[in-house]
Amino acid sequence: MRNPSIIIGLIMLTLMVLVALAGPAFVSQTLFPGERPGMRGSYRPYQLDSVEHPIGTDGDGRDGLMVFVSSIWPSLQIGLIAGATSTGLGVVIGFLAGYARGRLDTLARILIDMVLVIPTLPLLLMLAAYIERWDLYKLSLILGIFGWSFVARVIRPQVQSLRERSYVDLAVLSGENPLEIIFLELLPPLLPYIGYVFSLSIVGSMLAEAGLQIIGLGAGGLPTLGFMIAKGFRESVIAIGLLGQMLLPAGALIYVFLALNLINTGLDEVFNPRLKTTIEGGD
Amino acid sequence: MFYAKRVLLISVLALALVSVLSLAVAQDEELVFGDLPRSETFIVASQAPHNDVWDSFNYYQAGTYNNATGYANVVHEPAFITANGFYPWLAQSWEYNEDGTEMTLVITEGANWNDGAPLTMDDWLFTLQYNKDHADKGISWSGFLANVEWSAEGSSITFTLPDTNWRFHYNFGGLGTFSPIPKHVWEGQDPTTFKNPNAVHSGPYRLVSSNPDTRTTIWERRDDYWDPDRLPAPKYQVWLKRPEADVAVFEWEEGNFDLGRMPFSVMTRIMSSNPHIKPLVHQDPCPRALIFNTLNPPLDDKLFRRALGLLLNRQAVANLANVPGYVTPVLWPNLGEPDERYYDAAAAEEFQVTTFDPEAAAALLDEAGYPLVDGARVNKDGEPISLDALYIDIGNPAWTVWSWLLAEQAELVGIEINPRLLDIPTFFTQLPNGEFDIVFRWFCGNLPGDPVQMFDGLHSDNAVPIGERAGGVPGRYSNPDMDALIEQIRTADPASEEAQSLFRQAYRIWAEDAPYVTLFGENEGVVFNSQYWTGLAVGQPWVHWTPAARQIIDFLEPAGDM
Amino acid sequence: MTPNPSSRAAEPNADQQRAARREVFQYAVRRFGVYLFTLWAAITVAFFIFRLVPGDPMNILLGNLTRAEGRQRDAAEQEVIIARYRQIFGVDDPLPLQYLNYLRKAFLGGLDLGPSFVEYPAPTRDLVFRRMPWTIGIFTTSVLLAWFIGTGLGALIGWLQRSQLSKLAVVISTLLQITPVYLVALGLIIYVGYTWRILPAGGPYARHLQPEWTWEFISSLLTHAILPMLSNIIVIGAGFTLGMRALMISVLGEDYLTFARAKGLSPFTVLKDYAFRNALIPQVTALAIIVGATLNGTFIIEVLFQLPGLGTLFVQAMGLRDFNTMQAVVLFSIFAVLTLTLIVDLALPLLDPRIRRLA
Repeated sequence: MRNPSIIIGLIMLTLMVLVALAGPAFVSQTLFPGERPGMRGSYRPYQLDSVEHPIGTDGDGRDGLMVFVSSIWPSLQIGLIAGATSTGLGVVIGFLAGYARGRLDTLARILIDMVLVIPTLPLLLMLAAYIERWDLYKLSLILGIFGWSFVARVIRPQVQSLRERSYVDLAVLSGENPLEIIFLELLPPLLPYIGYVFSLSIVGSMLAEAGLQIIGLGAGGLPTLGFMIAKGFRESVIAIGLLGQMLLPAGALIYVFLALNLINTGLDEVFNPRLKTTIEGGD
Repeated sequence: MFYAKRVLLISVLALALVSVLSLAVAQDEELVFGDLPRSETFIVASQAPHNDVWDSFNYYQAGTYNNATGYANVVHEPAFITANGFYPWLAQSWEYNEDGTEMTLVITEGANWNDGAPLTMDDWLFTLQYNKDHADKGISWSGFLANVEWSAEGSSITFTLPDTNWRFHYNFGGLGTFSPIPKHVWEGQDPTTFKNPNAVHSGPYRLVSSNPDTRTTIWERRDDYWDPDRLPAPKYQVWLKRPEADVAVFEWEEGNFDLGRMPFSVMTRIMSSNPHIKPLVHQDPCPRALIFNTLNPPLDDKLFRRALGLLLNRQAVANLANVPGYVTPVLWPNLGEPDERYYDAAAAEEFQVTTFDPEAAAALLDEAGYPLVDGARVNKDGEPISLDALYIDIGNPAWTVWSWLLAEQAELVGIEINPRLLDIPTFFTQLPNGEFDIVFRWFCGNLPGDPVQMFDGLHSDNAVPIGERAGGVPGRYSNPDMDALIEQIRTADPASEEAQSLFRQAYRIWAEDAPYVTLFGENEGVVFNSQYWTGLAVGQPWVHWTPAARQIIDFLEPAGDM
Repeated sequence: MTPNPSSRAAEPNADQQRAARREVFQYAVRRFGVYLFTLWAAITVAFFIFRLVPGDPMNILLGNLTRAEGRQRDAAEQEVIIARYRQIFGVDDPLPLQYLNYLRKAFLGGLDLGPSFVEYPAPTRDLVFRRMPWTIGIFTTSVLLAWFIGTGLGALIGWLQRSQLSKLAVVISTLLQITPVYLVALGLIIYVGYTWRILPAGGPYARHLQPEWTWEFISSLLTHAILPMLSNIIVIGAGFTLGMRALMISVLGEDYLTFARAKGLSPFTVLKDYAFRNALIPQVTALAIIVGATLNGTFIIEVLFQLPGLGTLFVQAMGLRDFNTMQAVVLFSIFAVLTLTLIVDLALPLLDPRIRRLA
């Protein structure tokens, strides 16, 4: 189990979580004792990088660094909840559609295709009329619910293809029930791909969440990495010269994705030992 | 022979030298947009709104109305230019009869259209009839002609008005106003669908090309402009859609644009890398305000509304405004220093119109019957008060942060205020429909021109039920005393002492009732590149949007020292 | 019995062939029926959603008019205007009737998608057709290029999983895939466009030109297209690379590859005929989806490079709640995605003989 990829990935993630949890208190106590660096209107907006404000102040008059560190934890939560929801839903529906035949498959396909082609933005705006108060969990669930169709669409043909293989036929003949077949025969070979899709969904939701906040569906002024990027774009922070306010949140997203992918790669290597032989043969 | 050869050699050399020199001189003249000399071209990087229409030059259409192509600024001319007063343009003067039931307008003779045809009384009469006939199509500048008759004699048009109206002339000289259109172009055309493809109007430029792909319009100055004394300096004008600010900064740094809006936050950077760039700060004519929905308790209580006004830290909000440091307090429903004739300083003092004083707010709340119970203010039914504050985000912090600052102060006195961000179209639907508690809005009390607008929007005609569209101020405010004053103001001559007294009384009611509270007057940052053109300066009367801005191109002078 | 690709070698007789052909035909017909149904259902759902989104275009239109005129209109005037536009846009009818009218005009009336608010009185159809060449020419093309590059690269990286170079490639494409496309595009604009001045960094072509068949115009068009396409290729290509790599690794773990190796086939044959072919299937599906998504999903690149594409049009239309235009843009993207997935579904049996048995 001592796979270096997994270990590095886990260390990276742990560090991130530590920064997310301890960062806000640390930054406000060491850099701004007695001030309110995270409150809007505390400072003159758009100050360039300085000793007091390492990445400047943002357009709302907050300290940029403080906004950044406070954004990480909500973003991680959103990413995890939304990513798990969309991947989970997508895999379940993808497997159902791929494994089932006839009407159920057709129905699932129509559903997947429709959710895929109808743009989510107007749907969300419609939904917003019915949701009084947004919070982090509602936001994440909504993101997850709207993100499954891509996962389902790419999983379905793979399941279809796998279920026609000889070993699946063999399993059917030997009397395994469909659930056993799905979990024991069909799921394992797809795990690396699902893992990749999962890490993509996590980071994708962290980015997509910004889109919701901008149109007013956000969790009421909650600081997040995605929102920081979107706000930076809207307020042209790069042109102003506040590079840190754009590169730090973007870097944090890349960092999380990289860590997740390392873990994913490592897990492949551990749980897919056949891989090794084939690949070494291929070299 | 030897000599002849030498002469030949020398002359060949001289010729080569001359041609090299002339080539060098020719190269010296920088060309832009194909073959336009940069020093004779004025380039405006305009900011088109959602609807950027580049192939229609029809000022009647709501969708076409925009400043992007420059049509409104360089071609479409008004009857009077309005800038701290009326200046004759396509019309010369106006005069009322004794009781204000007739107005005579004298038009300018000798004007012509930019296709060369003369602009005559025929065009004026055609336009008046055209606007009146198409009033049912919802076109601009048609409503004011309902029930109005007119007749022409020589160069004057006499309008017979249905009632006494001392303000009829404002229809010819506001921000966007009535202006004649060429009969030979518009006759038989539908005002809502015609595109006026050659951009015919009376201005000093004519259309060269306009391209919806590149979003660029090129104008060329015409030689036969009807008023040669007022021929603008630039031979060409190019109006284009400004790129995103992140990209546009480079264009400014290279001096590729001459005039345009930019976020103030990036101006410092542009100015430090291009010394020719100057900021032109101009005041937006509409002050910012918070509107209360007076149908939603406890906002139906004027004491409660005034208490909220006292909780607003206007200075803190103003510090975040678009152009920091260029923010003015707004003491009345209008911009700038109050005009003593229309303003009641005692009332402003008494009702603390722009004061930030949380303690006074708390006292006022106690007095008005909203006691603090377990840390929360309760309404008359004993329930904790919770209100929504709606805002939109257009990238200007002052427009969003007020709600957070207000919420923070309100929490200190025990009131829950929830800031809510809305997407822009939803906001603009909920606003007139009255689906809000507190909203941030700019408030165009008095555009250059008609002062009646200061209070007109508060008439109870606009107090329709929630869910129905309201005109005016959408807060559903109604007060019979205010209605009576507004109705008197509407027919009074604004210059008379009688009318001014009415304005002062209305002001007092406004200050006491606080149907909306003013925040601040905001300035817009405009960037001007003085490398090729000079003459524009801070403080000149100009607005970026309408034919009234026709004036800005008159100030331009070529920068000689390039 | 074993549906191994090598079983194709067996010669089926004429009856079997005919039966198989009939099966394929039935499958195609059934799939086409599903396609038509999905198309109809998606269009229908989109129609109702757009009209139920909060925000009234009439209010927004009035707001614009008020701004244009610089004064508040009184209630009576407002009613006149609104009544007129409501009638033009046919929104006074009950929704089901509006829906039937829409379908009738759209499909029987020569694709008449109604007037637009964005550029009233321009018909929505004209707006969409004017923007579509840019979207297809720049975005769809770059997705295709990104797909070819990404799939090839991903297969290679997956195959050579253990080499250091391939690990580096994974890290780089991971970085690029998650980098907001805005940063990639802006980086290209700043460095290539302004600092090094290698290529023009904005607009569809030089501002003073008009579309015509001259070398000046065409070269301007091509040089202006490079940077936006490159931004798209970098980000989307990185995604395809990683996706393909993950798929290759899945496939590489399977028994039949070990068999193939054991049979003594050359590594390249194993890669080409077995691993690559199997990994390609979901990758083709993903292509169909992403090509469709580019029809309205590249707003940021369009804005940064000032291109008149459908993404900007959709955002403009959303801003005015111009449901006709929103619907028209989405109609094309629905049509594109569904048609592409149809083609993929019909073509998949050719790629993967195992799925053929489904038919």
